[in-house]
Amino acid sequence: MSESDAAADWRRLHPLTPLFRSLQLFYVLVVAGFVASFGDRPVILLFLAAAAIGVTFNVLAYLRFGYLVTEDSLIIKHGVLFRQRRVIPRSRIQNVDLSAGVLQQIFAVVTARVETAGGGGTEATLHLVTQAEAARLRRTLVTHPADIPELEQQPLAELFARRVSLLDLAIAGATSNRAGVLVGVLLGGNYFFDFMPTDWLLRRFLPPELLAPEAAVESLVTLARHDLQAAITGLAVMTLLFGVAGWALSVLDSVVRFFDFTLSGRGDELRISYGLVTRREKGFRLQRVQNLQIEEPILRRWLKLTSLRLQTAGYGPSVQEAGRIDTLAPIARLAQLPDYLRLVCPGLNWEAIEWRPSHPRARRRMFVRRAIVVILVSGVLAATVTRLSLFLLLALVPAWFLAAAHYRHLAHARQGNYVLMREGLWNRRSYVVPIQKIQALQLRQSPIQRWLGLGTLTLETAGDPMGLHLPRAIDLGTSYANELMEGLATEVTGTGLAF
Amino acid sequence: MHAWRLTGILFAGVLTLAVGVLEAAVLVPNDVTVLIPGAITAGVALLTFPFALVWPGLRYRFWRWQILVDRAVIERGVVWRARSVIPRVRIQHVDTRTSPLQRWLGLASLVIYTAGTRGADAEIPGLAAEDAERLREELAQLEEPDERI
Repeated sequence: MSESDAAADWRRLHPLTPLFRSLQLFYVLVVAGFVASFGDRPVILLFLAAAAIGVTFNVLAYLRFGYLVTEDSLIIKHGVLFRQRRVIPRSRIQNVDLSAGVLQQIFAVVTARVETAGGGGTEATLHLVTQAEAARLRRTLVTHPADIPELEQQPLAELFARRVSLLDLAIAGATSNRAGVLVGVLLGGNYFFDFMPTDWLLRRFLPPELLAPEAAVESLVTLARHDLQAAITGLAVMTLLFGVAGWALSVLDSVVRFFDFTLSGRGDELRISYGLVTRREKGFRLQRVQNLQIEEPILRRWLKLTSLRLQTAGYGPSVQEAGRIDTLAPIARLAQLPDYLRLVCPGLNWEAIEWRPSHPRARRRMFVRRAIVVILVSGVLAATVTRLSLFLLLALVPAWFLAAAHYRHLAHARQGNYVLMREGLWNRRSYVVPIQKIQALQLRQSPIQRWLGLGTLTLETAGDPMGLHLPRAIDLGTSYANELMEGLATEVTGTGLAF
Repeated sequence: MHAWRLTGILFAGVLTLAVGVLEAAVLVPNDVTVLIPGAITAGVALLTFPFALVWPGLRYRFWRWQILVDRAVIERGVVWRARSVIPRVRIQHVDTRTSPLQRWLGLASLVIYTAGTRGADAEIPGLAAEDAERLREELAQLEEPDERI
C-alpha cells in the first residue's frame, strides 16, 4: 500500500456485506450439519470451527476490499491472503448490472456487477453496495458515450420507455409453451413424490373398487386392463388437472420473474429491470446486439402476441446463458413490433419484409422425419405387444398435415443490412441478424437432406457458445443455399473489420 | 491460395493408431472379466479395424478446405456434411495444434477462431507442420488491430 492510497477516496462495500456473505455460508453449513448430525460431537465441533473461520474470513475480506473511481478507471483492491489490485479502464466498461434478492431488497442493498467488453466476463463484482451508491457508480462509470467514435454514426433512438402490466405478464405466462414442459415435470414428479391430490380426484370420478392403493399412474395402468372406459375418464381427468396446474405455474413463473418489467433507453443504451423476488437491472448497448429473436409460440400467434429477446455479446464464458440473452419484451402486441424493431434494428421495415419460403421439398423432409418416428414406434409395438399397434400407422396422415404446416413456417428474408430467418411450428422463432454481426456461415446436410438436395444454413454470431439459439434457414435448396452463403460472406467482408 | 494437400495417408495413420490404442484399452478389461475372452475381442477387432481402416479415408476425402482472398472455406463430414464459410475479416486468431502423435508424424492442425465459432467447427487437421505454420502466418497477416470496444 503506497501513500497515495491513503489519500485517495477509497470506498468500502456496505457494512452488511460480511453478514450476507456469512449467511450464504450458513446455508451450506446447515445442509452439511444436517448430514453430519448423525455423527459424533467432534464432527459438529469441526463444523462450528469451519463456520467461525468462514465468518472471520468474510469480515477480513470485507475490511480488505476497497474500490476507487478515478478520472478514467475503476480501481479495486482486494484479497485476504493474496492482495490484488485491478484497474478497469472506464472506456471498457459496458455497463453496471444490478441484482437484489428479497433480503437484499429489504435492506436496500444490491449486488453490482461491472461488465466489460473484453470478453473476460464479469470484471468485478461489488457484492453489496447501497442502492444509492450503485446508482452513483452507474452514473459515473457508464454514461459517457462521447469516448466511442463509432457511436456517432449510429442513429440515436429517442427516449424510449415501456412498462409491462401484470395482466400482460399473466398472458405471457399463459401463452408460453412452457405449460407443456411443466405438465411433464409435474407428471414425472408426482409419480415419484405424489404431491398432487390425484388419488383424491380419481376417487371422486371412479368406482373405488378399481382404485389400487398405489400411486395414481400405476392404478390407471391396472385399471386399463379391467375397464377401458373408466381408465379413459381417469386419464382425461388427470390430464386436465395437470394441464391446469402446469398452466397456473407457467403464469406464476412469468409474473414472478418479469414482475414490473420496465424497459427504458436513451441513445444507444437500453436498460431493463424486472423481477419480484430477485430484482434485476441490466443495461446494454445496442451496438452489442448480435441478433434479435422474435418468439411466437402457437398460442401467441393466435392472439397476435409475441415476445422479443436480444442476444448480446461481450460477456465472457463465465457468465451463463441467461446473462447473454436478454428479454427485450416478455410480451408485446404484434402491432408494437415495428416500434421495438425501430429501436433495435434501425433501417428495418417490418411490414415490407418479403419472406421467402424454403424449398418445397422441405415439406417432404418434415414428413419423413415424423414418419420415421411413427413407423418405428408402431413397428416396435406391433412386434412386442399387439398387432393392433399397426393401426398407429394411421398417424402418418396427421403427420403429413403437420409437415405441411411446419413447412409454411420456414422462411428467410433479406432487407437492407439484415438477414431474417424463421423456423418452428409450435414455437416459432424469427431471428433478425445484422450482416455486420455475422461471424461465420455454415451449411449442414443430414443424410436425408442430401438425398433431397436440401441444406440448412446457419449463421454464427458472437455470444452464444452453446449454439442453442442459432439463426437457421432450414431446408434451402442446395445450390441456392450455397449462393446465398457465398453472397452473404461477400457482404460480410464488405462491412470490414468489425466485431 | 488454392491448396488441397495430400496428407491423407498420414492422417489415416493417425486415426488408425488412435483407434488401435483405444481398442487395447477396451480389450484388457474384457480379458479379465468375460468367460470367452477371444470372442469379444475378435468381435471388437472385426468391427473396429475395418472401420478404422475405411473411416479415416472417407473422413479425409470429405474434409476439404480452401483459403481464398477474402474467406476460408471448410467442408467436412461423411454422413452429416457441413460447409463453413468464414470471412477473413472476422478471423480473430489462428492456432496451430499438435498432439504428441501428430508431432511424431510431423503433422499439425490449424484452428481458426472468430468471435462466434465454437473452435472445432473451423479446424483443418492433418497439415504438414510447416504448412500449418505458413498458413497460420498468412491468415494472421490480414488481421489488423481491430477496434473493439
